[in-house]
Amino acid sequence: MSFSNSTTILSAPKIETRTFTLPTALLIRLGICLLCTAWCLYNNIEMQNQITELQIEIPEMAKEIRLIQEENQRLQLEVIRFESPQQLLYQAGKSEFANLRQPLAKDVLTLQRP
Amino acid sequence: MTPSSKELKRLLIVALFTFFLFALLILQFYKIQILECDKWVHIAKKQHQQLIKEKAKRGLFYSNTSVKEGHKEEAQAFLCDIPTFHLYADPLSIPTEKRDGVSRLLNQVLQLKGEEFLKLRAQLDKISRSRRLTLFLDQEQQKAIQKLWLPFAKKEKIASNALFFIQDFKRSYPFGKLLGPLLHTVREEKDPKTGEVVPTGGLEMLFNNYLTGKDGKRLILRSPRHPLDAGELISSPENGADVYLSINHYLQAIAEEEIEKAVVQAEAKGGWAVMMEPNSGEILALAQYPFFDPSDYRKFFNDPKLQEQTKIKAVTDPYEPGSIMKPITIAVTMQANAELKQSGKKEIFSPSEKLETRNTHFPGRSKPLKDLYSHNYMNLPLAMQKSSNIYMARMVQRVVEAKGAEWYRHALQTIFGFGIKTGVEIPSESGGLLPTPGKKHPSGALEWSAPTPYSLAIGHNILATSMQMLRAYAIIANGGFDVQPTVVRSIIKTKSDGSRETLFTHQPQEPKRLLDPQISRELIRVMKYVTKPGGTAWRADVPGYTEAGKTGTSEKIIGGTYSKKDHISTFIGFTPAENPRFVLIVVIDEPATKYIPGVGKNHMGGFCAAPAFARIAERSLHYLGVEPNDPHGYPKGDPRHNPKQADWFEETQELLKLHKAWNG
Repeated sequence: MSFSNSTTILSAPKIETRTFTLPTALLIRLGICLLCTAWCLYNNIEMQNQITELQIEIPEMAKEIRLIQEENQRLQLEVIRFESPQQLLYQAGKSEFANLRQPLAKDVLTLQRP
Repeated sequence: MTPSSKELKRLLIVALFTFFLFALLILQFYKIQILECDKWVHIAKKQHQQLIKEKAKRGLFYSNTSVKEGHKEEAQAFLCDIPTFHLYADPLSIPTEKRDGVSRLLNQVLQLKGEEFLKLRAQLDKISRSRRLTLFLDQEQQKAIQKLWLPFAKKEKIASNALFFIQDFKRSYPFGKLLGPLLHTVREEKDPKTGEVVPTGGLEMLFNNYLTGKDGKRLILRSPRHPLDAGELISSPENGADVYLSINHYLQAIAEEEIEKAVVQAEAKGGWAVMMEPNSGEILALAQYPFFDPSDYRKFFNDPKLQEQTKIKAVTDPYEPGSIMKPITIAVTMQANAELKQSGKKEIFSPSEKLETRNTHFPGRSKPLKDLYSHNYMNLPLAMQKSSNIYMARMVQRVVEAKGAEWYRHALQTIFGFGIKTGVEIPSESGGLLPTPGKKHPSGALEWSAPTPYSLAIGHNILATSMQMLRAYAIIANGGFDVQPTVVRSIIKTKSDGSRETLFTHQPQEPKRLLDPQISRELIRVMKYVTKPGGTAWRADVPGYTEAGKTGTSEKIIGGTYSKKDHISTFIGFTPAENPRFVLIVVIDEPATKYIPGVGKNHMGGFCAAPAFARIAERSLHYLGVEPNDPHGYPKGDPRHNPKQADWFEETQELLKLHKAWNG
């Protein structure tokens, strides 16, 4: 199969091409938006990380506080035992403290806070 | 190549079938995720989460640290709650073959033997996620178990929280036995039904509703990595309210130390001493010996003989007060006198009146009434100083003749509260017994007969508690005003935000006059002779201070009859005599009945109870910072001793002369 020379070749329709060029201002705006979004996203992730870190630290700190509280209670108990009235009466009965006297109420001066 | 219609048909069937299967799967998802969501969430939570109680702290009892004027000290608790641990296991997390190893490991710390160890081992075989292995481990034991357990669990690949601790609180008594019978304690085992603590008695029982807090809730996850102490707090625990007592810990220690010495010295069965502020009715000390140690409560409750020590005998055990009733008799007589005078009638008595007091018969009595030492004549100060039975009986005889027996009984009840509970906040208080005309004893005998008033006059035929006597004397000491004994100042709840809510405050009642101030003054005047030379209780003289009081010795009623060898000896008084800081009663129960040559009868109140009164009063007044108001009233040997300048010297000398003149 062949085409003769006399055959008229139809010319292809002319396609009109348009090139869209974004204005610089819009590009800048988009860039800023993207930057802001990225910044917010970064901050959010950073905050989440900090929260996670704190969440990990809380049990450790709670344990530490509990241990300090327990130690504090133990020491308080020791102090109460040491200052028990029986212990004070026993100490007061010793010869080295024989010179000590309970102050009279009239000798106790109470200063009022201004 | 185009597929044949047969092939297309087969493909369609496969596709439809696959679609159908997917549809079924989606339906199943819908059923599980949407329709049965709650059910599966519940099951999942049950498998992975556990709700544990966050224990609330029980309220505490605090000492009265404001007894010293202008010198308030910091709040001081009588006891504290120390953390303790209950050991639990999650048996399903422990492989069967490793349970023996776990139990042996625990026993390195717990040191259980025989059956106890087998019980613990059996708990690990239970099909459960939470089994209690042992209770009340202290911190050291808890740490020791953890130290052994964690490496063991890691090595044996067992979830580390297959063993876990639940924290609780345990009553601890840093002051030991101090105030034990009043405070009591709580049992180690909780109520199996409610899980609540069970008080053994005393104030722990009376104020249980206030002291009990509300447990919080904490959600914990079951996972090898999840620490048990860091679960989510669902609700915070609400601690119980604290009870602020009127009792001061230092005064209490003084009273306990001295009552112990007095009981031991008197070779007695026991004894108690109660101190009360006469105006407010606040009990400042409430000591009792033998002691009850609340931290060892099982020992006392398992032995019937020791159970006696767990009750406050000053309110639960009424007894015949004996001669300490005599000032009450005089008060009632003076009251009758005042009423007669007011109505224009002839008075029945004068304190200076010379009255014959030889042993004599009184109507209705089969035997003559006797005094310990016979005296021919007496007036009121002499009768009080020598504790004359006959003088008191004569007084009551006149009262009954002038006003009637009913009036006399009514006066004893309405003015001094005999036969009625004082209402002090101590469980099992007895109201005592004031005979009622027409009423019968369980034996069938009439409570009130013709000689009853004469017996009442000298403290017989009446049963009164030490608290009732203390209140009666407080009325005399405070100038004749009513007073309500109390051991509680306030109940305060501290909330989780630190704010304080007052749930109860002891409000002083409106002053209600029960006795004329003149009667009060006259009674104080005559009671001052008792502790001076010639008196029955010179051993109760408080060095450096004035005092007024009365001794009493009564025979105990054992098996319905008076025992000649079992006595109750008492001294009750107040100091300083004017504007007293406290009223104090010292009771010695069953002192050894013996005569000490050159000293006297050991079982008499003036011998065994009076010295304890003097010692407790002196030390307490020093602690309170009360200035001595009798600067020369010190015993021989003290550089301040100067009897001629001491308080009540001249009056006592005059009374001695009078006694000599009337009785030879």
